[in-house]
Amino acid sequence: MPVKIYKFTLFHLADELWALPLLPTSQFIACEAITLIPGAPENVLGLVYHGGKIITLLDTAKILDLRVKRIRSKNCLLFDYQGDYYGLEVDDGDNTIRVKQVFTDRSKKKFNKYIKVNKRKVYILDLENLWEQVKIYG
Amino acid sequence: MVSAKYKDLYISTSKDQLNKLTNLFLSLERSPDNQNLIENIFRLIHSMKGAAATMAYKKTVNLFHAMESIIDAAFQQRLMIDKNILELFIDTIEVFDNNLKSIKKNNREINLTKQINLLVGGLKQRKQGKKIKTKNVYRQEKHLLGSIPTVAEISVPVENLNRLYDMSDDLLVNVMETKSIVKSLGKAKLLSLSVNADRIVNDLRRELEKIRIVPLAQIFSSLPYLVREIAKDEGKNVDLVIEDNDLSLDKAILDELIEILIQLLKNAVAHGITREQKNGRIEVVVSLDNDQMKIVVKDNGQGIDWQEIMDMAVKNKIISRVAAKKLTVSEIKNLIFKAGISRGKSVSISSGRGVGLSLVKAKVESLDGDMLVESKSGKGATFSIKLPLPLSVFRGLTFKIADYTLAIPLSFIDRIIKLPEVRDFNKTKIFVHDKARYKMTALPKEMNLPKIAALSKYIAIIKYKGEKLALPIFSNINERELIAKNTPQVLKNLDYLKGVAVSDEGLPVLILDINNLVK
Repeated sequence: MPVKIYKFTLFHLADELWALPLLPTSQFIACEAITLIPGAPENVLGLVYHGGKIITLLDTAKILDLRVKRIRSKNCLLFDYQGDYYGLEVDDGDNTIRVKQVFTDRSKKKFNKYIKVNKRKVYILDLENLWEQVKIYG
Repeated sequence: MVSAKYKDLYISTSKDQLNKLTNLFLSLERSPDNQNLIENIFRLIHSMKGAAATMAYKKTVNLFHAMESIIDAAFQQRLMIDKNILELFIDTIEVFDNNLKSIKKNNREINLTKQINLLVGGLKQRKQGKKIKTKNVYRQEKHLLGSIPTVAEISVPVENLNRLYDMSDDLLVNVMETKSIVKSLGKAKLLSLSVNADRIVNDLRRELEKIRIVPLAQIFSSLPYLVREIAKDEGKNVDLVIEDNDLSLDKAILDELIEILIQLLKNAVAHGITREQKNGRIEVVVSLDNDQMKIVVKDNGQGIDWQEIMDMAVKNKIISRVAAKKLTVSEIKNLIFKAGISRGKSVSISSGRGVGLSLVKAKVESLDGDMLVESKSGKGATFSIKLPLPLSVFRGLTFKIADYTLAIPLSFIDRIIKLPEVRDFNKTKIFVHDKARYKMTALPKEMNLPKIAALSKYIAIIKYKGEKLALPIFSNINERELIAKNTPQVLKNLDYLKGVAVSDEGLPVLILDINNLVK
């Protein structure tokens, strides 16, 4: 019986390792000059231009509700969704990983899915939860 | 009537053509019986005559016509180009150059009668002279352009450009990957080199984007001439008014767009405007509408008889009589885009509306666009096309307010007024300047701008649907070329922003929605 393989891009944020489901366009890029948007949702940092694309930069720490003091990073994880490009602000990029199992942490209300990397729990930033936090669609 | 703004374009194009013509004459001096050169000169002069006709410069048209007659005689081997004729042509070029200067400075042509008479006289004298020996006259050169000393421009197929663009993407990806590896190696010199390479590739991409973009005015300048020619053939009197809002468009799309426009203009002249009309008028208006370019072709002709279209569809078995009775208004209007709808009509003129329109519609749809028609019998017809904007460039006024960089398309700006001192316009309703009164407008409250932003030293006078409004603007005011990009979802939710563009510095700039501002 075939085994389902899950692919993720790993990234570092606030001294933790996180995972984003691998998308065809996923890549780490530098997001330096941010254009702020007046009246944008609070977890949208602004827009950046990269490689001919306009990228909506998201405040990952705010989305994940990480209340730690950290210096704003210039790295972001680029992905596309419904024809638009988004960047998740991350401290640093990491590898792409394949796993056979995704677990659920029932003690958490959101972003409660995780994978195991070197026996460590790595929580998944899934798009469904992401768009619930970032009020852009619907 | 041709818009005055085409004058500059006409002058710059004519100067380029003049240089080419001079070079061609110099080449002809070396090989006076080169038929290919003569043919190219004829084409160039003909094109210059057409451009002058478009601008309604009658004296210039006559001048080129006289030159064209001599070249035509040479091409027909009724006249041999000799030193005297070449000198006459070189003199004529000088006269034309002076004429251009006068048009530029005084907006009028100089007296060209003397030069025209010299050209006509030259032709007559040589016709009365010896018969030209035609032996060895047809020495065809395989590479005509090779005989022309200078090449001012080259044509590149769009596919090649696209391939180049794709390759620049790959290059960028590779440079990024290299940068990532170099970063992990921690070698400062290598890192600096890869950062430089990254910058160069990004610059290359921007340059490639620019190559693909052409001002609409450059392509549209031939349309008044085209309409005049068709109208002349049809025995009609038609005026073409073009409003392109200083827009530019990706060359690939523009090539398709011009085909669409030509077909619609042919239709409007052939089927819209009647011979009885003395005020035949077609308007072409191109504007930006959200993420799309809107093209409207409107005529004041006889309009479309929808009952006749339905009858024709039934007659040509496009639809049954029973089904025709159940059609909605929009379905009836869509019938006009079906191939063969006009086969029943006697079509002796420039275009068969049905076939042409079905092709136009197919072309618009192939560009992911949409096309609509509005018409009432006796009240003209309006065809509206919406095309998405992959790479459109426009000039905009950019400024900063607090931490935000905003832009307004320059086509909406009448002028910028610099105030003697910073003012708070928070409670001002009417702005008075040089005895003119302007209604004040402000950036919407939904933008949650800080209150300090109410202090302004500049006022932008915005023209919108016949009104002139005063908008206080703030710091870092610049006029720059902007590349419109697809509007991301986050901006679609904000009514006061029309979209986003990229500045020449590679920064996103938010475009204000003038409609919202005016409200």
